[in-house]
Amino acid sequence: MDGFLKIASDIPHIAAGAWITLTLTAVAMAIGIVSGLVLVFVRLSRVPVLSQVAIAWIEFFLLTPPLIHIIWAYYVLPIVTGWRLDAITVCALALSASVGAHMAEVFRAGLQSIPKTQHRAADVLGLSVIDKYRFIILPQTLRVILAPSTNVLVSLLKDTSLAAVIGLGEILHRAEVTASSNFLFLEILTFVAILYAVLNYPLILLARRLERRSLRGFASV
Amino acid sequence: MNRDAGKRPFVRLRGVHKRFGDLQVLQGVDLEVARGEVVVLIGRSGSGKSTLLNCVALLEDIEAGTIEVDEAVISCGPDDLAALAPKTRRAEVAAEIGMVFQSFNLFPHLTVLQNITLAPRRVRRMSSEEADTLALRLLDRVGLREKANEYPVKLSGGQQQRVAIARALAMNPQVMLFDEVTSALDPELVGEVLKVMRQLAQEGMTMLVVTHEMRFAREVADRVIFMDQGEIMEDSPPGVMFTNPSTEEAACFLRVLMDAEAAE
Ligand SMILES: Nc1ncnc2c1ncn2[C@@H]1O[C@H](COP(=O)(O)OP(=O)(O)O)[C@@H](O)[C@H]1O
Ligand SMILES: [Mg+2]
Repeated sequence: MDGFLKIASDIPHIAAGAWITLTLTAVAMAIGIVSGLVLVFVRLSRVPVLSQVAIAWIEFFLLTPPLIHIIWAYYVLPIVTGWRLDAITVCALALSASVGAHMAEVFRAGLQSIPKTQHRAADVLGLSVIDKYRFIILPQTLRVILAPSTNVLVSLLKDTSLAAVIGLGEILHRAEVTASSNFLFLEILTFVAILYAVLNYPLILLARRLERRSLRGFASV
Repeated sequence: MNRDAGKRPFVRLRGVHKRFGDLQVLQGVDLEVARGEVVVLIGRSGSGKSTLLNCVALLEDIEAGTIEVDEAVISCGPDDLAALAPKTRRAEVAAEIGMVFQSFNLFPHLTVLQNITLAPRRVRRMSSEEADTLALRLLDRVGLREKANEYPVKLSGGQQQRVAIARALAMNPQVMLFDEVTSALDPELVGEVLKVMRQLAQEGMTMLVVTHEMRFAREVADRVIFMDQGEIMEDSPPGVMFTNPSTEEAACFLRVLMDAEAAE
């Protein structure tokens, strides 16, 4: 407890970084969901070339760490292209690309989990493709993907801490700067870990609830 | 009723070929079904019965031949494209074809009522009151009015299948395709589904039925068709098919089936 009293005066400054953390999370989630949807429909469309480009894009961002994208876009891109983006834009884009790739996979698994027979039943009733997706396929997909989507969100919130490497003033960066001036690394980093857990905890609870619900709905179809 | 009823077959398949990859599944099927006729399709598993129904329901394309329903060619191979009906006419005819599957395929996230009303509302542009009235009338007919607001999960297999039939009937089809609709049911639930189908047949519905229920075939079918390896081997009235089939393949298949039935 002693240690935490010592850093009490630093806490508001560090905690204020949560705004940047949460903003980055929200922006990357929004862009990630939209781009993930686009990617999965392009991929599943089987349009030659386009579909392969989508697959390559998804796999690249699934297989490579967002930390490298951040460093690359911040330090290398300006050298190669003369184009300089500010730190928050770099982080938002890099995290969006990662979330987009993960969401594309979540959507794909969700869409493919809907049995072909549901498509046939809708087709034989004469529903248009749009109506089939709107009323039959997407509502069922949504129930399946709620829980895994929440997991992507939880990972994203933690990954925003990568922004610290290029000096963006989110939680971890503020903590590092503060700790390197007062040398209370143990106390400050412990506090930071707790702060991330507190921010993420509601999401985990949500994920668990959604998971139970989606299992219930599909138990005996 | 159609003036030409009885003259021109309502469903007509000519030289229908279908393959999946290298597997030739339908090898030149010719079949005619008159308005109001009940035709039962039998044959070994893998002989192409489901594929045949799926082609008529436009769930599969065909490689050669033509499929005609209500005097419109709705599906054909690339060589017969000139005969194909215009797109709007094809859509009209497609809406006249109802199909029920072995696995019910109700929409699990919709109530029984919503399962039935969705297509009439979206495809036929019915108001929701009209669609609800229609759905309740059909549920009465299959004896499930009290289940209108249940989800499919809560229903027995036999009840789900009866809802699936009501859902197909809500589109006011002129021909109904049934693909082994009782095969996934516990034996004690088969009767209630067959009863609904019998009633439909009596009301004059044109029906193409894949089934292994030989009693149903004997009592309800006008013709029984035996398929083997993607070909129609025999097409006879049930009295002939079940007592004196003309092909050795049909005789052999029926012996096995009768033995199995007798053993029950
Ligand atoms: N979508 C498909 N892809 C590949 N092969 C298929 C497909 N559907 C059916 N088949 C094959 O076609 C043959 C006929 O199948 P089917 O029409 O289902 O026979 P039946 O209904 O008489 O049992 C089988 O060998 C089956 O494996
Ligand atoms: Mg079959």
